[in-house]
Amino acid sequence: MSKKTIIAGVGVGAVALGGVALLNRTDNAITLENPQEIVWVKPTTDIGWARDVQIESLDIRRDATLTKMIATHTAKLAKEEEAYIKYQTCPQCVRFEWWERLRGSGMRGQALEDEADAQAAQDIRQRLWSIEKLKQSIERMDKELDLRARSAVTRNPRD
Amino acid sequence: MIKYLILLFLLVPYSAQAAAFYGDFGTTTGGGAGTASTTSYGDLNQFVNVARNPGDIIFLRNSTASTTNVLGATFLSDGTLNTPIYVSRDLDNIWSGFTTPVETATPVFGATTITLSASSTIGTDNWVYFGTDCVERYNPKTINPCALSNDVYQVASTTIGSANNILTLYLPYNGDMSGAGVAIRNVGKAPIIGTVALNTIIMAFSADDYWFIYGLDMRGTNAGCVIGPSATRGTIFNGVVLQGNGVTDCGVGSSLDGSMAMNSFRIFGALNGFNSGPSGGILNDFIIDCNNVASSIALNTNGARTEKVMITNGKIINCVRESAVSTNASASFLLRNVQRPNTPLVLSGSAHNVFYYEDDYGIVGLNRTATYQIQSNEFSTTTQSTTTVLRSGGGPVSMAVYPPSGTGNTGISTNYFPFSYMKLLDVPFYSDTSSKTYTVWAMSTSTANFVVDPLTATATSSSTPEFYIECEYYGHATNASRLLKKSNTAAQIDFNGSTAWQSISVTCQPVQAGVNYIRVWYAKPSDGFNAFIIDPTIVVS
Repeated sequence: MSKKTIIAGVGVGAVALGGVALLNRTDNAITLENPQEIVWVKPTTDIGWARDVQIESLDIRRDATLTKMIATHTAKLAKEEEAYIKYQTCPQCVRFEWWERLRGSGMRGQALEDEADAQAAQDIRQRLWSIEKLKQSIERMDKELDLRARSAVTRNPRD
Repeated sequence: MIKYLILLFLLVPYSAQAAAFYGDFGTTTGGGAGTASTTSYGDLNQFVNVARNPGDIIFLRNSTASTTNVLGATFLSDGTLNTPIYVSRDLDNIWSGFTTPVETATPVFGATTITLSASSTIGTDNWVYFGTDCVERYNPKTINPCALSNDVYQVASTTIGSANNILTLYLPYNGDMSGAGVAIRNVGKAPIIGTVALNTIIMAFSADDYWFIYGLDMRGTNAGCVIGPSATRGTIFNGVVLQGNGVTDCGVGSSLDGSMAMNSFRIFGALNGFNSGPSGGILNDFIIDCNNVASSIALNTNGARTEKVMITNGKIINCVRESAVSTNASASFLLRNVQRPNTPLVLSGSAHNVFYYEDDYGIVGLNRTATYQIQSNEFSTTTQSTTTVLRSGGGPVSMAVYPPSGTGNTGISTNYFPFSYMKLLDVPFYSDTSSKTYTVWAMSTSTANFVVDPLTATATSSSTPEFYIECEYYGHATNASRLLKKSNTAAQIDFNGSTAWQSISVTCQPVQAGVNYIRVWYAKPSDGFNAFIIDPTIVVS
């Protein structure tokens, strides 16, 4: 299962914010049916799921731990989705914060403009990644508990 | 040097539901499941990118480096206030790579040079601990206590002295060992992530709270800094080394949260040690070495919502500027025992930023305050402790006052209390209900320092005298309402006519016993050098 991660610095290129597709989406439209930042071929069988959840070491977690992790990550997801409203509705605001920060470090001219574009785009992508990844992790945790409840897997928790 | 020995091993934060993971940047197989040292993860993202539980730990193998195909670490989960998520280099010899040199040491508390019994076999940039400062006692549920107490030290160099062999540490020794013959344990080099030419934020936090990061050497040259802790709360960095190449980079950036802390760390070669931060928190036991990068700044808080920052026990070297503060910020900085370039401060910012220096330059008893109101003043400070001029029968230390010489936003006056004033003293006194007089003494070392004396009575166009002492005391029999009484007698100070000690005083009688607050204010617009000395020991009679 490949996982596309972000954060490659300016390697993502000086992305003009107008070119970022997410500008027209509402926060409710961030789903794993059409993820932008994570790459995930969702399993369709119990065997597939049993392997998939091991990527996050969920197989070694006790039931109580998984239940707690679902709650904490669900709470964090809500926090991230709320915070993302700013990134989604005002990417220019995010860019300006970066522009101000970089200017304060002494950057000027086209280098400043290009770097502000790049850092803001990266920042927005990271926030989007967090939301998608949290949803993926929560779904995996739910599925692991479901597999155990149906005795579809036998685990040896050791956390 | 204060040692932050926080917990013994039995008291290290522990979560029954925590899991241990292992990382080895030297693995060439792309990384394993990470649940055993023999099947380690190959990079840090395999641990931080997925869901973790508070208390989870990843132990990282020493003397390894991740320098190719590096993706900056992005964090998914949060720890909690009482149980963070840990990233720690190995201090328990999990991979059996530690060594015990034959030479022994004579550690001295507070010193960076350690005398050895024989020629050193320890290479530069290895990390060592001495004697029983640390104990290797691997426990998958907790990190080693030395990760909290910072008792492992990076070796800067080894030299052969004329009579003895010398081990030099980057940061001063603050452990418990002393005397000759102390065993040394070499734990190896820190795990390295990145290179100084890598244009990547090595650790990118984004509202990810309560992580504990120990013992990593992180390198990059991204303008977003080596560590970009945006909106992260309660994260602690201990024993980290951050390195850049001085192009557009910075060590730590982007709005450090006020609850963040960094201990026993080193930043080297960055354009800005901190950029757009710290906005708050604690920095303790450190070196910021800008490596003479052009236009380098150690603490560049420009653009940050700076609050209060405690900066203690450190050294700033080879930086062009010590600090730059946002013109919009209203910040206070306490710097205690910070060695820094012995040149006048180069400050920028607003009149509302205040720097307090205690044991400045590492000199015991040298205390100062400074604000942006100082521009081209020779001394570039507002007040400074001195023992050069003492009042007979007065206190053991005097305070030299260097008022700002500017106008507009850089001067002082009685026009805009309290912002346009200098508060020289603010002292609480417990008092009964008897009448007491509080007196402060001052003098000028030269009558040429003042063209016109500071007014000690209120002028027609002013709201207060230019130089006065006030008493704030309980004025009601039962509730906590307070009265404020100022000294207001004309011609009490004659700085342009005499170098003798002169005084101003105020008498107050509280209705209830309790704390009186005695303050001394100064707001005379500059008409020259205007420096004077006050005895900060207030006389009560």
